[in-house]
Amino acid sequence: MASSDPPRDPHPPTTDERPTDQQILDYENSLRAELLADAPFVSELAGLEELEKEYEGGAEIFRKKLQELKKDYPIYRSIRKDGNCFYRAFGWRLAELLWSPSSASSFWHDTAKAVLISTRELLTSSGYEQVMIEDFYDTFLAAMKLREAPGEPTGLEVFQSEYASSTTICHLRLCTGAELKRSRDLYEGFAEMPIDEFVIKSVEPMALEADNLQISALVNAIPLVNIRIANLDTTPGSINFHEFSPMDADAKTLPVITLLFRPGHYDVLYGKNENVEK
Amino acid sequence: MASSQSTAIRRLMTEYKELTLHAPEGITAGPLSEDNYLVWEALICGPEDTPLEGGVFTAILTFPRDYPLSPPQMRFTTPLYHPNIYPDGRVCISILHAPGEDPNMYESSSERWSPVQSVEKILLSVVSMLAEPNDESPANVDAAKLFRTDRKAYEERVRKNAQESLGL
Repeated sequence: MASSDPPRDPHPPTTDERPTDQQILDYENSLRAELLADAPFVSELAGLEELEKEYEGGAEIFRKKLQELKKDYPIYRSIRKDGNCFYRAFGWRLAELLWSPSSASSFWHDTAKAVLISTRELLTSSGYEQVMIEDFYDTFLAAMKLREAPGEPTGLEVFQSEYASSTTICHLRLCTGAELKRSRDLYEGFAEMPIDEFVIKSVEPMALEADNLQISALVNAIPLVNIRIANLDTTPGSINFHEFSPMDADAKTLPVITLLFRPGHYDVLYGKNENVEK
Repeated sequence: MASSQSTAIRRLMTEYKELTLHAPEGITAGPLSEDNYLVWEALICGPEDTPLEGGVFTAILTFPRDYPLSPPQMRFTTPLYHPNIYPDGRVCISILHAPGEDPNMYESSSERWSPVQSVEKILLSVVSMLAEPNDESPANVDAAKLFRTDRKAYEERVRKNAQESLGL
């Protein structure tokens, strides 16, 4: 039994001709894994023309909106479609802003450092046990390059490695959960269930998408950026944006993260004059 | 920076220590060997005031290298006749599934695996599953059918199962 890599269980024996639920699920998972296998967690920069190609022959409204979007946001990065995309996009852009040479000695950078370091207290004061969260926290700070980590991969490599990328997402999920619990009066009316239950069911598990409530909470948990979300949908007219800003910070002084939303998925957009990590 | 396996092992050591200090009643669990923290054995006593009372059931938990990002798998090695346990011993319970990996997709509102769940929480969920079968997502169709249609015969069968678990 001393194998260091425990084997996954085989399928249960079946006397029925039909596949079992488990077999159907394994098949679906293998399809999904195949689809995802080549997709990086965070892609290299690409022109919006790449996105336009996806809509060639598609509805006119999407092509029109993309053309309009391209004028202000000509570049994007795609994020892996695995249900973690909002948290991954947020973590990546936050890291990118921190690494940017133009922010290096700014007031924002100093504030950001203090806020991110204090997320451990945010979590422990909301009831998470320190021993359960510290590995996520340490890896998160290292990914943001706020911890000395000599010989470690840098920049995009960090976010493209499964462990660092997933662990960073896990920490951001817990920050979201902590904020929801900390200011529960504010959020409970939107959760359709008690906040603690909402956090356990809709925030903490990996691969569950973020909705408005999680987005609002994360922006307040880490009040360092405004989030602007471009909605690529079929509503007539021009492309519309949703904005999320932290409540207790002077939003005007904070950088803006722009995301592209298509139902069920977020990617990262870059404005014309934004500094980007190559 | 930590790697995934060292995180898994550090976390499992912490959980093991916690479990030895404050074990929930009727549950014992720990690594099968000191060389391999990724395989645990758990002993679960049949919950009181249920037909399983008096029985002792052994299960093996196997942890993935990226634990706790992904959940372990759990399999009873003691035969156990129960609607939510496959005939081969595998436990079918929502907390052992990450979202999107649940064979019972309609259980969307139940508690899923997340990185802040723990071995203790799994075992407590299993104990309450043993006490209160969920016949809506059967892993053992026969057991679920008997549970639903002839509760007396089901309980008789389970009582026998509990006695057999002691090897008497």
